[in-house]
Amino acid sequence: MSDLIYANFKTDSNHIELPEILKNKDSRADMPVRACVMATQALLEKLPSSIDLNNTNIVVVSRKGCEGHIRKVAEGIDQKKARHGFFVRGGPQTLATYTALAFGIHGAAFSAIGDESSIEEIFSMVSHMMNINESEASILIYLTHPDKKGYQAKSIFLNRAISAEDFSNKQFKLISKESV
Amino acid sequence: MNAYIANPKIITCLGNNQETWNGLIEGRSGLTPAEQAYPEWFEGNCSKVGILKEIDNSAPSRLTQIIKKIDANCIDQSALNLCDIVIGASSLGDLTGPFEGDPYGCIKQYLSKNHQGISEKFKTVITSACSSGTDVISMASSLVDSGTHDIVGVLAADCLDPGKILQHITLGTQARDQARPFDESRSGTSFGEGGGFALVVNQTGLTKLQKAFSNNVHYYSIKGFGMSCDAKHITAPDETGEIPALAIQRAINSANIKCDDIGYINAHASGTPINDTVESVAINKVFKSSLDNTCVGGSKGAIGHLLGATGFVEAVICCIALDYKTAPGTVGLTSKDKKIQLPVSASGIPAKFKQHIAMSITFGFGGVNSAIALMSA
Repeated sequence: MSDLIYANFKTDSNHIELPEILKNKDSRADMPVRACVMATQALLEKLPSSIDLNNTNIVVVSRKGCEGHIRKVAEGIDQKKARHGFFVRGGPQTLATYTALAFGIHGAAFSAIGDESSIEEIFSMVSHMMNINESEASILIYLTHPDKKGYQAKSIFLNRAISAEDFSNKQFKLISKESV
Repeated sequence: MNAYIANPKIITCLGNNQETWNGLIEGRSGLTPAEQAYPEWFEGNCSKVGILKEIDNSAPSRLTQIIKKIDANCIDQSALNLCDIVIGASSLGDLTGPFEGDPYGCIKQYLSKNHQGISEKFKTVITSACSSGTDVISMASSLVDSGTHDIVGVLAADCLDPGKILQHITLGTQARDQARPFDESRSGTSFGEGGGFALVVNQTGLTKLQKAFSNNVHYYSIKGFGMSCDAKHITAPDETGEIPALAIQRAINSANIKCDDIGYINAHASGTPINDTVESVAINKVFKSSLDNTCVGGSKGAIGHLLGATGFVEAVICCIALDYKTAPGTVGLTSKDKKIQLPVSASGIPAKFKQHIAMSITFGFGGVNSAIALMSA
């Protein structure tokens, strides 16, 4: 499969309802995590059910991680109080690991923090990682929080069949302002 | 893989590369009681933490102070100039202040102020909780192996402010006294701070470095890496050890080596009761009888758990172990838990090995598991 497969989750609200798929797993995900889960769900709905999630990586690129949860931790620290429930769910890695938890993805799961210019490097890293790390495929998500109003999470499916031409095309579509 | 780690340098609560190594070999710990590190926050007999010396506790960004320390001890401007890009590793960095939860912004601003022309090369921070430091080396090696870049600078840094200690004490992950990996009395880990810098290069990059530094380049081959995600729980590891074992097996497969080729495993060995048990199960699932020829140990009783930088620092400890063909004992371990089926040496009792490959394993919150195999050049 080498077709370009994308999905998009976009909301103008700063509140996102807990995705159904997380309800029996963990209900305290921060809003950016919920956006990533929704974007992944939309992507998986476009993919054949034969996708091997044991060998699929999940990588999320964003400028910041879970700002809401970290703010609550920081407010607690101002009063010398622990907010460990938010702390353990506030690391940037949770954008990827919560999504892995939601769908049972057992490949690599990590986040990359940076601005739009980091996308090219992340694309290259993840694409080549599949050749090294025996992984069949990768789901790459680019999360933005435009003007701090709402969230947009674009997800893209990559596999080893990707060509150089596909590569730049996919990368462009991931960062373009239009919905995919 | 066509990837090498060159001139890796670290700074921990024990000091630089050699000072850290000497401490590990001698069974010394650089940990300090939390009430001494932060008297305004903690009192009584608190557990120990691995904080760096001469850090200004009143500075608005502790992570900036840590990066400054790494810069002074580990970064050579001429090496930095040769980098095609620089990528970072951290977990959360500062929990409060101007870079609250934003290690990327913190590193970017530090480089912008202190290394002209380098901040434009700084692209991203890889963050996978306590596996960040391992994964950043793996991702840099992916970039050079693919030929996208020849020389990638890797900067791993994390800080331990009192607010972070507070969260971990409440969570129960911080030890009652100090990290005692694999010990029957272990009660948690000892968190710490620090990090380091290294160049990850391919053969072309290595040739460039050797030319620039008149062959004065100390390097190790990055043989392979593996990652997996438990996808089971936000904090607790997969108790079956199956998914963590997958990361280790993937690293061995990508390195195209056999378990017998590995002389030393620097385990995650956090010292929490569940982590060490799961790690023992996972390593045994992969290595089986090959463990008879392998030394296993952990470093967190000596230098603490350096959060997002721990994987980087422990990979560099593997490199030094390859230089000496010696596995340090596990500081904090005095009486091994009988359930731990690993060939672990106690504190201050180093062991020799013959092989040319070492492996560093890290686990992190969210169920991330990472392993990297490094070889003497």
